[in-house]
Amino acid sequence: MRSTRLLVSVVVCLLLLSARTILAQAALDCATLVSQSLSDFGNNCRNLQSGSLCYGHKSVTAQTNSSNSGSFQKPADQLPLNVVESVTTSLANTTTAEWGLALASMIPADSTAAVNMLLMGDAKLALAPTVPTSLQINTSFGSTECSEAPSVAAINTSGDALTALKINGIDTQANSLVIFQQESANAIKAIVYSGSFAVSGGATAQSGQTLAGVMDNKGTVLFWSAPRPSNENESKTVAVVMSAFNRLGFIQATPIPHPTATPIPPTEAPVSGASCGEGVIHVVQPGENLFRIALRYGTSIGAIQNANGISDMNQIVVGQTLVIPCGVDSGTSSVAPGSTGSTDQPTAAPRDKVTPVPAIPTTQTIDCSAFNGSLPANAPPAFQQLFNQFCGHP
Amino acid sequence: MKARKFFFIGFLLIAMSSGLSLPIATAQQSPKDVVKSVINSIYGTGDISVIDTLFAPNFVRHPAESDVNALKISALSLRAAMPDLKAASELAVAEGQFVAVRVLLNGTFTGEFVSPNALPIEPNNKPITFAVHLLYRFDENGKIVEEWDGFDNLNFLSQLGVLPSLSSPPVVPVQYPDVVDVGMSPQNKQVIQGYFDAFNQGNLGFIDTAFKDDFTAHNPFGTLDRAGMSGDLGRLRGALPDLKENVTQLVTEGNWTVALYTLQGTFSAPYVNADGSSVPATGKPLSLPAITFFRFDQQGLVAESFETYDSLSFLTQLGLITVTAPILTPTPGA
Repeated sequence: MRSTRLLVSVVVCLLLLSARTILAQAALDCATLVSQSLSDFGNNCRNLQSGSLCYGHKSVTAQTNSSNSGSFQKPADQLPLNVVESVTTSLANTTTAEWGLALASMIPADSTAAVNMLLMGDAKLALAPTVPTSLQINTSFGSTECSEAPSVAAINTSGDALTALKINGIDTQANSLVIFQQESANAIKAIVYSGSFAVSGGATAQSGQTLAGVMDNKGTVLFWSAPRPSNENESKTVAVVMSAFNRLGFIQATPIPHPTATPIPPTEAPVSGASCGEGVIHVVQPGENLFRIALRYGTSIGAIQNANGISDMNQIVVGQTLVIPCGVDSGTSSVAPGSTGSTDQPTAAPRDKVTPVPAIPTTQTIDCSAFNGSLPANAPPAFQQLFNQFCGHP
Repeated sequence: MKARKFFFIGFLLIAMSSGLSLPIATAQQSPKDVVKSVINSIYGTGDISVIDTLFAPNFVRHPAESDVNALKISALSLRAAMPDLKAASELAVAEGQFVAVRVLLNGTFTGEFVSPNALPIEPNNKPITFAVHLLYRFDENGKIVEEWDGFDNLNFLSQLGVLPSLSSPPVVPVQYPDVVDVGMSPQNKQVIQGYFDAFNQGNLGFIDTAFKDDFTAHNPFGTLDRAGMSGDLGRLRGALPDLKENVTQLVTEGNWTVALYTLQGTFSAPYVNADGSSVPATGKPLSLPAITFFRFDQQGLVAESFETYDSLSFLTQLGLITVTAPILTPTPGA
């Protein structure tokens, strides 16, 4: 009888412990997972030596060409990159507290600039055995339970010189931070945060622009589109990647010289120095919307709407004259970085309708501490805006 | 819409047995099965590797006169834009080295539609359905060496939201897709050749002779009965008095005959609508390929037809509309 009681007590205790564990795991929300993972990533892989692969956050697996390549089982483990055939990181999972993060660094033989490759979430990077600058990138696509933890691969080249890389079968040149993300089995995009990214036989994307690519079922890119402005979701993805790079000690955003490839000429002149205020008038141009105009003048959509009696933010037409007051609007139509937000970028072809700008969800995670209070001065305006909105800096 | 009324183009008939010879594909599959398999692979699953194994190196795709790479780009662009794309070969007609197939494609436009070095078209998250008529020719080695496309860009781009909707009718599935052989296929082919010959001689009365009373024509801009089709063809000939429909290839099997032909003429007289209104002539020339599937009844009368051509090309060639869609204007400098 006594032993039965003891057994029951043990079972109850075990059940309580299990429940506590489950509750503790369930309590880990997406934002917390992202924040903690990036922090661990920074601690584990900061100051990685060139020619190495680092296990940043669980889980990461590496295929190697050597049975004596050493242990690569846990965070902070490293491998020499020359034995690595591929590296795979895992999808974010709040229950298991997993969000695979890995960093690889190399200096191509014909270059002095380091190439840092970051894997995040459900992503895979394969390295050609004899040509380390030939990369194959794949990521998952579709929704995840933790939308703030994207699945991407990012390549960050240091210095101003163009670095030649073959990515998914296409020759490229980059002096930039480029983020690759699959949209589906046959669609991939390259989001350029800084510098420029040129693809062979195709376009050159500049900071704040995105190229859309079409790939076959084996992951080989057939072609890329012309660059378009990065959209809101892409800006949010960039913010997370930037947060990771900053945690790792990279200061990204060196001013980039013109690439050797011919860039796509912008259809809208840069507007640095444009400011809102009394007497400021703007004539609506093709491709503009209220979001773009507000961002251009550093004011809010709501302020422009109020000053011009515009009830529907989408109802402006080319040639319309707008008064541009200064002001902050706290409503849903406040300026947010988005697809048309980078004012120094080419605009899309004129559209019949102005694209509405959705509000950024308040659950968006940005690791503000990683930026030491500010973004680099030459960060694209869209990202400055995002940072300011979420990190409280004017 | 006047342009719409301007649209119903016809077909004609006549006899002529083709001397096309034996089907050659693989040891296991007939050319028809190869074509169905290829279409499902490249459009339905995105597996373009079959193009490298089943297409000849000198493959040409008409009317763009492009190669296998263009075909790969075309197929995967669709799949990138519609990851759930399905391709159903609902009707296939084979004769000799030729296989004609009508394919229904449907998917949801959830990904960007991308063309090389052009601005992507944003998805509208709407279901897209369109029919494509394809004609393939196999070479002596059993490889696909030519393809002719009957594809309506106007309907497609309207569904993508790039062009305004012109109230295109929904795609009509083929109600009787089975190929039924009652030993009439040579005669059927003669009837279709006769139809085109009669049209080119200005004889529209042939339609009343060779087409059933309850004949139905499915065209890019709608469905017509026999009288409606005759009327439209008459108005079209009035606007393009030199109009010819030059047959390039006829493919016949059982109760189906497929025609690949080219409309050629000059818009030199006003197009007069049924209500008496008119569209002024533009003086523009027209050269437009089309592919039509004709179904015969057991008495050898034409019972139904399904026609595709690029109505966007038709309207732009005749100077009736101008299009400056992003897809058609690749960004320069890339």
